[in-house]
Amino acid sequence: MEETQAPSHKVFVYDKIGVFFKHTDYHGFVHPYNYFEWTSYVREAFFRETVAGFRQILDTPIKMMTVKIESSAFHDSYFGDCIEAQLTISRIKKVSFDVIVRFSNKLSRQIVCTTKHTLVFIDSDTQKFADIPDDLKKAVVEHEENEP
Amino acid sequence: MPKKILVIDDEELIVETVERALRRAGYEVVSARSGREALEQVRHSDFDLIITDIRMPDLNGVDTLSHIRDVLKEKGRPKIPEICMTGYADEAMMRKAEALGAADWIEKPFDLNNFLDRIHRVMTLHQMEYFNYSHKGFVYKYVVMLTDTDQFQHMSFANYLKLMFLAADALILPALDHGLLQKIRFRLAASRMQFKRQTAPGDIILVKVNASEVNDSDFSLLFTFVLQGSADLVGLGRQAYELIDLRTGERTPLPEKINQLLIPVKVEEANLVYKY
Repeated sequence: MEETQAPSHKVFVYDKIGVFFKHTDYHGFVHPYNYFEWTSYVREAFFRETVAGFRQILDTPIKMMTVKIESSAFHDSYFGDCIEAQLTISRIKKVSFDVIVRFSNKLSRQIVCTTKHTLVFIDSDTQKFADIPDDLKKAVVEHEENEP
Repeated sequence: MPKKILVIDDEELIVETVERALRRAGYEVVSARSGREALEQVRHSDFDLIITDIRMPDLNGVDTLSHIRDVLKEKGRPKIPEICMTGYADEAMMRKAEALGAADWIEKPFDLNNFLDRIHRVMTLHQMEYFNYSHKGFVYKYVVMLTDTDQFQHMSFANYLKLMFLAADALILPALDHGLLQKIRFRLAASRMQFKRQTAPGDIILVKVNASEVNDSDFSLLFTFVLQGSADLVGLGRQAYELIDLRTGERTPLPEKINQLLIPVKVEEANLVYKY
């Protein structure tokens, strides 16, 4: 996966999304559900590739929970399209941050859909909020975009 | 988040005993020694249940509950279920509590286990009543399968979103025949969901679908996810759809058949407790 350097933050790029028949709906458009599923792929690829010791973090009692998610659709996609996802981070707090994924058509470069979700960290042993693990925080800080 | 209970009693020993039992059972407890103190608490905090002694100096339990209801109405907040406690068989006060519509009453001294069971029953019934009757909606039932869950043994967020689409389809499909499907398309413009608790395989989720903002060529759907049985809130969702004419690619008016499905389940968002 690529890392591109923007003036003030990194952008994680995931470009392995191809639209297959199973992604399309009755009318041949990509069903919007797929953007949520692809969001989970992009997010996991991001953690796997940028967070040192991510697998070890998974074995600890500290768990990530998605507490809210939203999406906005701009253009349609169709069978055969190649979609590129760009992931950035925003609103980093002590126990949470937002993950923004922008999906664009690789050919037309149009943004077709954007998703944004909030991740919260919980200690599954105590059921209390937990600080973002250090290695993970380092990766997210590097990808934090400044909100307008 | 633990449920929060307001306990109102002028007797210190009763308050301490009840507080201790409720905290051990996992509830968050706030106590008030009088009706007036209770009113102040309600003005500033939300509660899931009120337990009040009936016989208190100054403001008795029934009048306290009546004033509390006025405060809640004034603030546009939903009713809180109530349990009345009484020290001895006080027929007149019991009848007043019954007339007020208190959810339950219990005579002191009471068995703590029985007391906790009744609290749980009252709160569950209240949640189910809210879910079923506070506003009509189309209900879609779903059983969480093993295939819906990940290595953390909970249903993944993507599958909750899928469930929203399934519920929306189930509401609208009866109005869609092959002919209509060849002409129009429901395009999702925006979607969001909040997650309140996790679910596990075997859980049964009830998804209530309501419509809001039904316009000429677009509408919004609201989704309330609760667990069957406990009626615990699992999540809240919203989707905004626009109708597109497949030939022109332009927005097109909602067919009457779709309107007929949406109008019976339409709600005024200003009246809803939850913010979707």
